[in-house]
Amino acid sequence: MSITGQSGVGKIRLFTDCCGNEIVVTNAEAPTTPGHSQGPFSVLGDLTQSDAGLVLLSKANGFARLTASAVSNADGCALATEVSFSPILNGTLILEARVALQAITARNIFIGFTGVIADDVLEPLTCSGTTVTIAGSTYVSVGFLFDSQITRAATASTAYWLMPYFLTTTATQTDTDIEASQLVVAGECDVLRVEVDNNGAARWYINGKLEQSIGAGLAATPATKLGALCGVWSTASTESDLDVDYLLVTANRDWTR
Amino acid sequence: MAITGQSGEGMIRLFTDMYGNEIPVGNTEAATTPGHFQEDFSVLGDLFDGDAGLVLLSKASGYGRLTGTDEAGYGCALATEVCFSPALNGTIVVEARVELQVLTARNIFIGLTGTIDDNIVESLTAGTATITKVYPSVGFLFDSQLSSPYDTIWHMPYLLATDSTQTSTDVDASQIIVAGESDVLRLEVFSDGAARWFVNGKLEQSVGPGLAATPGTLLGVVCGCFGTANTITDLDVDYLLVTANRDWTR
Repeated sequence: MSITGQSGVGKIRLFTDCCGNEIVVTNAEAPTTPGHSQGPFSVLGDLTQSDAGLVLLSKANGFARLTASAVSNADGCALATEVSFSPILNGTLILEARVALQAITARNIFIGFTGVIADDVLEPLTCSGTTVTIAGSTYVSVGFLFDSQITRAATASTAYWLMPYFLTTTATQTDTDIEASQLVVAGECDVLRVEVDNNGAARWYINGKLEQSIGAGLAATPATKLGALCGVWSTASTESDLDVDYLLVTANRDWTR
Repeated sequence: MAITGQSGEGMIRLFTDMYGNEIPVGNTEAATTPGHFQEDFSVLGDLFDGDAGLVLLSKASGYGRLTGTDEAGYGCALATEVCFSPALNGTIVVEARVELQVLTARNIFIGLTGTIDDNIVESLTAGTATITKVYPSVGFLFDSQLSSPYDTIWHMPYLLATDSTQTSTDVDASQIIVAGESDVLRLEVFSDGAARWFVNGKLEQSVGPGLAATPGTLLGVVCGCFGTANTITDLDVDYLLVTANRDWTR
């Protein structure tokens, strides 16, 4: 009856410490095999290919290595949720991840919220030169991006995390407009945290430092649902990967229905 | 050695917020494929049938849609093993937030029951004004086979081993089910076999010691949908929570 029933389970908290299931690279499963998970997150991508998967690493704290297959700007591997977080109904949305890149070449990394997450998950944003481009108007995105195709990312001293925010009306952003002050360094971990408020404002933190803050309605459309995504895609015919120590998503439950 | 050993892990808490794994409807896996899970719960049923599965929905807060087969009595469910003894693990709490997209051709049971097979079947069935036991059960029931208006009302049956039927009007809640709207259902079963039922935070029913469950009989948790006809059924689940105390006596 009631559409306002509430209980003590008011907070949504999804967390994986990346110490669970493995999806073996070189597996030979069929595309119809039921889905995979790592804690409360789906593991998506071209997992049927023999060069993609998720393996756990013998590193202190426990890391999972997401490995994308060697198909340029297409096949990836990601931890994800369904597209089921509405800023206005579930905000403030928080996504936090601790990640490390073993190399900063030939890869596109996105960690944040996006509007489209298919089973064969695609990169929501891609880059070239100085430009970040949305995959399509429905791929609204707010989060962290590293793409080796950005000219400045090819030089270690200017390989910064980017903090893009794309509404449906946004087609491109320029890298220097959304650049963090902190570099991506191969083999070193960063703690990335994005907070999306119920009015569509957002804040980005790297290693605890506030790097960017955007006002109401500029980072996300409050009524448009988003999904959490932490993934890696290849930018060339080379396998790419991302090491994840943990992934955390929190939100408030929608009691309005 | 010790039969009284204890630790800080005194509380059993099982929870899923319905993010994570999917079992695609239309999958082609063999009946011998190892089991499936959704975080702390088994996903049971005719999952190798081409019309059953568990898919995640693009709805705010995240829901999982359990889809049963088009066979009467069979379905798809989140479940535990039959391993909760009211006397040893009580108070046992089962709470779920669920939503039905339609109210036709389905049997929904959320609660505790005495038998849970891999190819799970409905714990209770219903017709006209009568709820009939398949297995000893205590929980929430919706069955579209009940006569109007009871085919739009949550029922709160409790059937022990010695019971065979209950009348719908004896165990109906005050709150009706509306398609597309969520309800929070909470069941508490005490160590003495008493129980309480809450719908959206309102106490709807309370029964005394030994009447809702036999304290020494093991029960398992089920949150599932089952067919009443040759029509595919489904149930949208926002979350499922189970808490109980740990048995330290052995």
